[in-house]
Amino acid sequence: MAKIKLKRHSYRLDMTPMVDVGFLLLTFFMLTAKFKPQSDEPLTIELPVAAVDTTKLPDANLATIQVGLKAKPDGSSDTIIEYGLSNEKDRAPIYKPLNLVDAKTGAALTDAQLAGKAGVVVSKAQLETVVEQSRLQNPAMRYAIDADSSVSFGTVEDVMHALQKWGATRMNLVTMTKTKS
Amino acid sequence: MAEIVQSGGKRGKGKKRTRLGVRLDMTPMVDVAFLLLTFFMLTTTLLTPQVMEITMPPDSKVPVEIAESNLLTLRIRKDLAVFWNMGTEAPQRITQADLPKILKEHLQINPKLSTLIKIDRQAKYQTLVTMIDDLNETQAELGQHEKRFSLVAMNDTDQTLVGGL
Repeated sequence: MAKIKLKRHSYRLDMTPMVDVGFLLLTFFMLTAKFKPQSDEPLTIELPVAAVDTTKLPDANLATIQVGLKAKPDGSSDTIIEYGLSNEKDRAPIYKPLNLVDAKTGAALTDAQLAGKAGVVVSKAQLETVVEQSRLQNPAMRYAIDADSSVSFGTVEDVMHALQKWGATRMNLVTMTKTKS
Repeated sequence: MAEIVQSGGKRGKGKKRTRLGVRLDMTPMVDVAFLLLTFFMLTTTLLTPQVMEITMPPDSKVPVEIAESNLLTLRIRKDLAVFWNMGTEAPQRITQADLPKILKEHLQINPKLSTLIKIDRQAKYQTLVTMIDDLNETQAELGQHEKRFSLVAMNDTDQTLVGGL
């Protein structure tokens, strides 16, 4: 008996449309990508949820006060306040009064190094200094409080008072959209 | 990896130029492109945070006087229990879910109502956002655009008032 030979079809698929779409998507994602500059202490913030206000966070002229929790080995956590500025040119003059030093060498940071810092960890007293400097440096600055949902209200109140003291009475609370169930 | 395929060839003695058909193997380029595509797709964040804007009065020591009948006080204890009262009435315990109903009821009767939110300093920040959100929502439902509320921390008097309830 003759063996039935299976005929192998060699076929060629035209991948041009797929590649076209692939490049289109690549271009889209590349253009919409936003890179976060490095800050002192990257905090993971679980945002509080809200349903009503849907204004988006502005990109320029923004000072963000991040209030986050940092877990300690013994299970408790420290509240950390980090002050960040979106405008690179504002950074050096505002951070200057903090007299920041390099962690390794102990030398004072240069203007260029300060401008590269997206955020610095501040104490409550230092927060008032930077808020005051920000008000002097850029009156158009907007202030956003980006706090973790489980930090104590007391800490947030202190931040609000620091802003209020230097006349930054309009503040933005950063929230996440509540998904309606 | 470009390969040059000679098409045609010399035929005859005419002055026809030899045409070169160039075929480029684009597989590596496409590979890299898809790799990049995967990277950008995975690192992108599409959920952007929103902001809730609040305006505080400038730091002045001048107290604002307000009629007792126009004041609704909300107190939030350390354990996140919510209490409410009108004017100088005794505070009543409610659940967070009841809050929009009570706010709506009173704001409907009296649009001039001022809400005073008193939160324990140790309570969670989420409570504050929820309170403001509830208030915003109620006022939006009623078509009132002027959003007014005061925000203070609970003092010792408040603590004794709602501490044992």
